[in-house]
Amino acid sequence: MRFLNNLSIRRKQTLIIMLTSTITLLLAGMAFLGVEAFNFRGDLTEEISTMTQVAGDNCTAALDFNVPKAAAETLGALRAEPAIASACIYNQQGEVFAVYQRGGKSTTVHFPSVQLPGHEFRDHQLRIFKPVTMQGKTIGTIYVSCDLYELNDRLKRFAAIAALVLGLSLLVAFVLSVRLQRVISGPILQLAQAVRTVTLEKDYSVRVTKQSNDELGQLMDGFNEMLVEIQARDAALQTARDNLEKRVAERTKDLENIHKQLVELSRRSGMAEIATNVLHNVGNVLNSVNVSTGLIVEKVKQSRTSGLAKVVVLLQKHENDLAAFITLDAHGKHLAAHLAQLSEYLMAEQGAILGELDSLRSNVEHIKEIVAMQQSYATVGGVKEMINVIDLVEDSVHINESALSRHKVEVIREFGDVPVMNVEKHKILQILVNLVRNAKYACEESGRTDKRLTVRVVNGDGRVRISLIDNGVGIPPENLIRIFNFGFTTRKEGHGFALHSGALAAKEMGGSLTVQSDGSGQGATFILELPCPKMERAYES
Amino acid sequence: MNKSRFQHHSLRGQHWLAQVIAWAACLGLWCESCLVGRAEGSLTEYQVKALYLLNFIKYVDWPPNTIAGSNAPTTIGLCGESKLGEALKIVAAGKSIGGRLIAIREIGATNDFSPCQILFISDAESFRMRQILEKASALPILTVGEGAAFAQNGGIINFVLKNGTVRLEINLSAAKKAGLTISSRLLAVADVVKGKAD
Repeated sequence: MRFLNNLSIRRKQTLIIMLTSTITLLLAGMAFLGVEAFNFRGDLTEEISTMTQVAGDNCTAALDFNVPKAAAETLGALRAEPAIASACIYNQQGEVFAVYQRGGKSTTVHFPSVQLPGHEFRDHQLRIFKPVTMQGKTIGTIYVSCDLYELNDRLKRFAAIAALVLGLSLLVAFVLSVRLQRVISGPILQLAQAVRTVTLEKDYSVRVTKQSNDELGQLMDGFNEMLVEIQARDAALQTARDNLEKRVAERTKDLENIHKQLVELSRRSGMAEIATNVLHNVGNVLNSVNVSTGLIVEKVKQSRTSGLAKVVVLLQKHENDLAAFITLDAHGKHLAAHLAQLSEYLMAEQGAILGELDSLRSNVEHIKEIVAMQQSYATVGGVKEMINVIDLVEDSVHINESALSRHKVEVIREFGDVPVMNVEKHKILQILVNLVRNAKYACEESGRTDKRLTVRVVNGDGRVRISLIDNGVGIPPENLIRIFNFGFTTRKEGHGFALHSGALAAKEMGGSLTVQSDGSGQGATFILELPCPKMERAYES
Repeated sequence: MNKSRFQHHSLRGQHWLAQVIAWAACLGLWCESCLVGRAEGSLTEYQVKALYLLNFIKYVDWPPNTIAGSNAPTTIGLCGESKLGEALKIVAAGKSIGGRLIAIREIGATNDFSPCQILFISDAESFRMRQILEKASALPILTVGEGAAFAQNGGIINFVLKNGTVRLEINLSAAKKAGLTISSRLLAVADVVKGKAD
């Protein structure tokens, strides 16, 4: 039955019709066969009984006058019926009196002991016992056994005819079923075709044509109504979807604008941060400049140049008696020594001022450098430059240098061999400066004495990996997942923007910004990965 | 062979033994079928002949009205001394064949066998066989003999001993002359011979 379930309706119908026809015909054939066999047995019994009777009647004299030979001759007449295999006559005592065997076979057939009159079918033989009577007196018994091969032949013939009829009937039934089943399967197939069209092509405008007013017709009406309903709903849905799309498009546009603004804001914010750093550094250096200037001013103020002026006044006063003054006057006598001492002072003073001036100059130089650096980054965004990222890393450390040294954070550099890359310099620097500063904060917050920041640059497989490893306060796991979220910060004065925009920028450049930390107090590692196409390396080499 | 042994005994003259057997058969079974059925199996030659003599009645048709009255017996005449007479008396006693009882009549020198339907002429009467046959042949009488050339000499049926069994010879023209019809079934088990007159 399962196999039946997988067949198409058309096949199923044909099969059912054929099966029904076959079973009906087979049953009818078998019934006819049974009747035929029954009738044949009856006919045969009658026929052979008559022959037996005649043969027995013809044997009376032979029995009466004890002439077995004559009886045998009489029995010989039975050869007219080839089906008769053997026959015999029993005398009154039940002894075999005369025998007949088909084909005159000499082999002794075992004849059964005499039995009461009657017939039986046994071992594919019909066996008849009949009394031999003469004038109403039984004088012996005749026995005839008849083969049933004729019955078998007839049954075979009948079966052959039945098979032929069955075959022809089935053929006719098949042709008829193929024609007639269209009444049922036609509409169903049409329906199935329509369903397939609807399913495959999503074409709900398909309609089926009703051909009859029976259940199939109702089914088709229902199907059509269903399609109408679906189409209506589809249309409504489509309208809703179109509206939704429009709204989504609008929202997307809004978001894009906001994003753009944010990016710009972040860029500016980054710039501002760098600027703050720069100014901070500049301020530090200016401090030194101030100190140097003060010292110089103080030195100049306290200069012994006034002593020299006194010597000059003294000399002008004794202009006329200079020699006497130098040699005779008490003051004059000490003038030379005084002058020597004064010149010594002045020499030392000059040296100190020169030193301060030198320091001043170098500080000013430093400021110039810082300003120049700031100028170099303050270029328009989006411009790519061929640059070695190690330089950028160095710059980011340099920008934070004063803060790092103030908080006694030891910076360890582990730089691998990195090719020159075509990157947006200011974006990367912005990220790195922020990361370095974060590391500094983390170290500062931990309060430990061995504050350390390891900066590692490794050239990976097609990527440059810049790791900033600090041994600061670390990041608890619950914060790890949202550390790059917009607005997330753990610092009072932080606004939770730099890491977010840094991660976005890294992504924009085809790289990534990730963080690792084993938890609070375990330090943290920020990793900036940048794509480093092999082509550019090849170009470089 | 069994039957030949019994015949041998009887032929040697052990008559009493045959009688005892016959009587035992009659008393113990008291039916014709038994005796007929026994045939020659364990019977003497004359018992067999007696049975055959009775059986002839079934296979021979006499002309109509040969026997007066529907209840009249079939008469068998015995001509000449023979063991057959005694055997016949035993076998035929109380028996009816074809609806008629059997009457046995000894034919003396008078040769008055006109009421008989069957006439048995024993071998002992061979000397006057021709005379008897001449007289009987004109009558509807089935003449049965046991001598050599009996049928050839005008008798209708003759008992012949062949290989120790009793066989029949039938002279059809004699039967026809007597107005008797002999069943083809009987003819089938007998040898048809021609008379010298034919």
